[in-house]
Amino acid sequence: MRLIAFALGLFAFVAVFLLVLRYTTHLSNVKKGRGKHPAAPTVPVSYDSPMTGEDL
Amino acid sequence: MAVRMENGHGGQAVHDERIDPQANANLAVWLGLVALTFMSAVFVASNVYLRGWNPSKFTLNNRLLTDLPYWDTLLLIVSGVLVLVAAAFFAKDRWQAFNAVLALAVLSWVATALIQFRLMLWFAGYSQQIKTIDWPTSMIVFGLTFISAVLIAIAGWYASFANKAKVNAFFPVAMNVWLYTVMFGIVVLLMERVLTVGQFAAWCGLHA
Repeated sequence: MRLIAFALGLFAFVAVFLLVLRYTTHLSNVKKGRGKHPAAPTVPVSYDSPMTGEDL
Repeated sequence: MAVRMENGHGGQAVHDERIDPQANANLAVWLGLVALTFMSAVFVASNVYLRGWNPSKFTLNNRLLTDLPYWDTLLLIVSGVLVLVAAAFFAKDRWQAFNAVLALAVLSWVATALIQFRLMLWFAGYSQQIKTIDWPTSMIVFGLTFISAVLIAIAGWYASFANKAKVNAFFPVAMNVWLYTVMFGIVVLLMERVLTVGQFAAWCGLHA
């Protein structure tokens, strides 16, 4: 019983740790490439593109 | 995802080396908090177990001291929900609503911290056993809620800037601390009030 309680507690702890980390990483990523580089061109140009402005 | 080697957008060099400093910050903050968890757990368990006090010595016979932690934790959960609501507005760039919710959240966090501070002082003067277990844990919870309130104030300050780059970088990382504080508060409540320390001591193998 004691071992089961300990295992459940440890599992819950690791699960919550990973879930919160996932959530905050999502919260970080949702802002990436939006408003962070105000000088960035609106149409991203791939370095291997023929510079036509089309995102390949 | 197209990998672009960006060498300067209007003088702002963005050299993508597939390193994400913010993800690293999230992980670093969490590893620090995990370390705090294990420190607290070892501290409490060793104090209960190694001192070998009779479990009945941990009984609190004060109505206020047994009830107030429940209300305090409820307020802590409300505070956590408020920062989550603020995060929803944050993700949608709705800064006005974000600031309003953050203002409510800072009130809630400060109220929680004040109650926790008062509890901390009451626990310190109750009895030697309570002073050994409840006092240090309430000190840790007070420290965490206080730091959370300071972090919200910093986030609100950054949000007032016209350039949102700082708040965009700061808010998700601070979110780790806020959510951890709520979880820590709930676990302490479960360990000390829902289960009593006496029951915990019995669970550790000490008998009355």
